[in-house]
Amino acid sequence: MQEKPTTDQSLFAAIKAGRHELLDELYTQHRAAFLTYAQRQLYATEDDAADCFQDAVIAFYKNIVSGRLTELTCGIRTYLFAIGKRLVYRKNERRHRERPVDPDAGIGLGNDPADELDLSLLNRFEDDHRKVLLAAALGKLGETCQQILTLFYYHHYPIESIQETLKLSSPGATRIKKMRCLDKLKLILTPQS
Amino acid sequence: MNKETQQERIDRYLLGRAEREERLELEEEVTRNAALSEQLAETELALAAIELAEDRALKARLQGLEAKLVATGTATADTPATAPAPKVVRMKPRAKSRRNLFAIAATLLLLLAVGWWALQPKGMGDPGQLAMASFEPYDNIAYQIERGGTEVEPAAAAFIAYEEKDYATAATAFAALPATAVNKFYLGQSELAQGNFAAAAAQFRDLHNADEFNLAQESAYFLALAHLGEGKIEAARKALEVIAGEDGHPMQDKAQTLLTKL
Repeated sequence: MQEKPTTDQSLFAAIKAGRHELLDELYTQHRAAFLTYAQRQLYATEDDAADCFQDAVIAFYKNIVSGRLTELTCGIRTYLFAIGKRLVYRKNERRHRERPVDPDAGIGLGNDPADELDLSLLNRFEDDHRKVLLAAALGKLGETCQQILTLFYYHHYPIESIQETLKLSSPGATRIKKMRCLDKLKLILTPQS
Repeated sequence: MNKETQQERIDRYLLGRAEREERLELEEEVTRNAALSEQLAETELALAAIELAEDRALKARLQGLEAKLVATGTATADTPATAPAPKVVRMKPRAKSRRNLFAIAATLLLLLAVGWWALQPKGMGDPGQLAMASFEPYDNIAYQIERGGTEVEPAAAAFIAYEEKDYATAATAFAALPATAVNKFYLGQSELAQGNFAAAAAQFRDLHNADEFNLAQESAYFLALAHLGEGKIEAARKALEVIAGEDGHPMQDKAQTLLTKL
């Protein structure tokens, strides 16, 4: 069993190295503080606050694995709060609650760490029919194919790590398998006439 | 170039691993190679499908974790999920005559209390007590404390003391830090928590009009509390009236409540 990282830096390094199971740790560690903050300061309901915090953790993770966030310039909590705050503002804006706009866009308790991140990723959480269809396509593949494609394209694992994780015979075989799985997915998404 | 090699180029491009030159080359080639352009578009679509599916999977995982946390009672810091269940206590039957006696005694007591209240001079009690009763130290939302290291930075020491409610130590530590808006705000909080109203007012006075400080509105409320504690009741009342009348002010409810007590 791998050790649990105890500091922000070690947690960040472990997530960057592929230990995405540590997102649960991250969530549990900062959730209560964010819920209190969002309810008191941002007028969020408890459900909205929890929902936004979940999305904040995912957006933070995606910024790490995609290489957009290469090093921590402040505490993890500060990043999560900055992203979560923007998500709450968006939610409030949609519901025409007390604060229609982000009042501290561009200002804050120092530089807003969310500025370092790619927040266009947040748009991915919005549902529409086309996205539902897209998301369902992956589920039509076999389990191994789903794992290979997800590990490679989403979690940014190198081929060698995928081979090791899924106990495939060699990196070459993993590469070929990945290629075939991708072709199958493309076929589901754009059936040839 | 075979299909596999082209796919590797596209992967490197879409995953942000390609160097600038490689990117430009591919972008240029796409404009004159229909097959490559199609392969790129199909891969983009596949990546979008993978991303959406995994977003949902991660979201579902965190939602499950949230449900578990709520169920096990680690809901929020302020609202315990498992409140003690109410008890039903059987009432003893009492004789009607005794009940009447109690009712008469209660009425007499109530009349005495009303009479005593009517004879009291109108107004509130000690303003310092009222200020302290209305004060709740503001959460640390500015500094992420990293525990476990051997050396503690001065800012971390200040916030650790603050979070541990050791306000005297926190005030000393904040006073030694650079006088940024955040440090002044928490110094003001630490002073207010100790009932040092004048010292607290000195901090909040600079902050409540600071345009680029996130907690300027909160500072206005805490300045009013500090004034109240100092006995400057009219100044406190005026400031509270402004806050209470401002829709969307984060301290509006608290200001309104306090005004009713003044």
